This record gives sequence, C-alpha cells and structure tokens, in this order.
Amino acid sequence: MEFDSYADLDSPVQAWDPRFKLSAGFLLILVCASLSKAPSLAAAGLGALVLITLSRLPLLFVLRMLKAPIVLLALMLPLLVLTAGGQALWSWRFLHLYRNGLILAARIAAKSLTVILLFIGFFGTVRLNTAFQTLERLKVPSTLLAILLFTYRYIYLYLEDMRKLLSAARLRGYNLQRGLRHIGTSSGILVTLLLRSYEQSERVAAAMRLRGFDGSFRGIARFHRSPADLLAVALTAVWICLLLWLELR
Amino acid sequence: MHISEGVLNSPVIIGGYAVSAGLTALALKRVRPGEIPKIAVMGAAFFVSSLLHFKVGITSVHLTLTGLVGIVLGTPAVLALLAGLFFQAVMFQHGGLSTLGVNTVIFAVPALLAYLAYSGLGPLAGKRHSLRALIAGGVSALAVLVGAALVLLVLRLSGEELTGIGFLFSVAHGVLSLLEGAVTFIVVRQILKVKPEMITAGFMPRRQGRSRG
Repeated sequence: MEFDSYADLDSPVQAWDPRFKLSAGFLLILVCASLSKAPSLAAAGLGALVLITLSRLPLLFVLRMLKAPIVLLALMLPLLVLTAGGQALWSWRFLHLYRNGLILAARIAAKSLTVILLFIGFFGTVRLNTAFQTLERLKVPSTLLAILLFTYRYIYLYLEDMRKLLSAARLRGYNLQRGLRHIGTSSGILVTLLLRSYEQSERVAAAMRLRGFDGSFRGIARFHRSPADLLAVALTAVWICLLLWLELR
Repeated sequence: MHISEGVLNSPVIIGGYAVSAGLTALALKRVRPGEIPKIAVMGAAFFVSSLLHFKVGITSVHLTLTGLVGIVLGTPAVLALLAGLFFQAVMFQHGGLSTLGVNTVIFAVPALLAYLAYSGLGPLAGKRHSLRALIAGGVSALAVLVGAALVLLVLRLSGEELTGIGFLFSVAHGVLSLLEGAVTFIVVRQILKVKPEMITAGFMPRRQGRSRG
C-alpha cells in the first residue's frame, strides 16, 4: 500500500489547498518536534489524532504506517532507559533502570508518534505528484524536484528487479539465513543491479535530451485558494501559538 | 544510520536543515540538466540496493552504501541521498520529515568525504583493479565510521542522556563498517572488470580528468 493511497478521499483535510496544507503542516511538524513538556506534548498528540480523524484515513492504514516506527521505538527505548545515566530506580548487578531514561523514553515515544501522525495527516492526504507540483510553487529548486520525481519512478522498478534477482539467486541455492557466507553472491546481486541501472541511466538521459528536457520542472496542477483554506491556516497558526504557550509558560 | 522522529531537539533540527541546505545548494550548482536522470536512476538503484539484508549473528543488518554512492556519483551524491532519505521516510517511515536535514548531513558528509578520498587515492593505484577496489573498500568502511561519529555527535548535542545509546550505536556500526568495506571491495572490483568507466572515469563527465588512473 502506498503512502498517498487515500489522498482522494472526501474530507476537509484532503480538500485543503496543498500549498497551504504542506506549508502549515511542515511548520507544525517542526514545532511539535521541538516540544519537550508533558502538557504541550499531550496537546500536540491530541491535535494529531483530531487531524487523522478529520482526514477519514482508515485506521488499518494508519496503524500500518505506524508499524515500522513502533518496532524501532520498541527496540531503541529500552536501551535508552538502561543507558541514560543519573538516578537509578532499580538495579541488578550491572543493569540499572534510570529515571531520566524513563522520562526521556516516554517523551520520545509521544513526540515521535505525534510527528508521524501529523506527517501522515498532512502529507499522506496529497497525491505525491501533486505534492511535487506544490513544492515547485513553493520555490523548491526545479532540479531537486526533477531528481525526486525520477527517483520515485525508478525506485519501484528496481524494487521489482531486486525481487527477481533474489528469487533467481534463491533458486540457485542462495540463502539469506547463511548471511556472511554468501557475501559474494549478495555483492554480485548488487553489481548486477548497479550495472543495469547505470546503462539504463544513460539511455534515460539520452531519451530525455531528445525530448528537449532542460532540467526545469513544469507542473500542470491548478490550485484554487478558498476562504476555507485561509481559515485552516489561521486555525493551524492559533494551534501552534497554543502549543508554544504550553511549552514556554 | 537514521535518526528517528522525536529524538532530536530544536537547535539540532534547525542546524541539520541549515547544513543540509548548504550541501544541497553546493550539489545543485554542480549538476547540469543532462545529468539529472542519471543521478536519479543511480540514486534509486542505490536506495534499493541498501535494502538488501545480511544475517549477522542473531540479527540482520542492511548496508548504507554511502561510500559507494559518493565514489560513483561525486558531489551530486548529496541529491541522490536526500531523495533516498525522503522516500524512505515516505515509504517506510524510517527517519522522518523533522529529521530529514540531520539525516541528510549524516549520510551526505561521509559520501562526500569518500568521494574526495577516492579521487585522491584511487589514481595512485593506476590500472591495478584490486588495489583500486581495496582503496574503495577502505574508504567506504571509513565513511560508515564517520557517519556513526556524526550520529553520536547529534545525539550528544540533543541531550546528555542519549550519549549511552549513541555509543552502543557507534560500536554496532564498527561491525557494519567492516561488512560495508568488504561489499564495496567486491562490487568495485567487479565493476572495474566489466564497466570501468562507471568508476575509473567517474560518473560525472566533469570528473573524467581528475579520477582517471
């Protein structure tokens, strides 16, 4: 399932003009990533949940998007609790459970999930190609956007190539479980993929030159600003001010 | 080598964006329109290649390939890595938007250093492919260590409590650097045999004179 699978749902968040939505979302994400106090983090988390609810994104989709970050947090945070230093709440031989670590782990977990929910809510509700065209309107360099678009196009192609190469290697007895013993085979797969991509990159570059590609990015999306878009920006601005007040008071 | 969302404090997040903006601007200056598809296609291939896992002990690790990206792409590696990190955040929720700047620095600086080191040392090996590959492997292994040191630095700047976990992370990457060096050695040696212009002449035409052995 792709990140922008539900970008066309009928909801106020999806209907928000991407130029305003992505700008406001980016600012709100940076503010939320800077919070450290419990009241402001709780409010930010609540706000993120409201955004997800308003966007009508299916719960299963949101949970699937959260799966990888939760697994990473589950691996990282216990280590943090055991290595943070300071006052120990519990000790056994060389193991110490630190109070600072527990507080920091809770803060990181809350902040991380909030920011990822906001990312899904703001950026997962815009088609990726529309997002690139929005970024062009927001004066992001066109060379960078063209590279992003080309990369997006070829990632899926090479994921499929990699899957085929691995299948072929497995049929010949390659086994990931034997790890380092097959380092030569794994490196061979990388070489094949890189050589193919290098040759393809030359063909693509030549084809693009023939079509008159000059590095500029020309979006065809039309954006319409409505009073509701400006109201949503104003609400986000008020929300950011409230979060900062809770953080700094 | 990603830093997850929620770990960094605001000065580090802002600093990361400022430095990555500088690196991106530098790389954009060096890119000509005809090179855009090449950078993107190779960037996508490196992105997919880095997903290949190796079983090590009870766990499995995946390569970063920062050194190899730097050696093949040169300065535009910054753009390929930025694109890769952006799509990792979008497709797999690894890293994230607030940490995109810092993660770009953590990946791009080792890639650029690897490029500079290989550009300087590679020609010394002349046409001896194995020696050239050995230099590339060594440079890539060091690039992983530089990345790990940068992770430790940004974690330390984000809070004293994160130093311990940063140190554990660095030790784990010491092991990864050996694997990365070995894979880069094999990959570069094979590429030098069948498509030497991909590495000996450098990916970008502008670098032909400098890195030819």
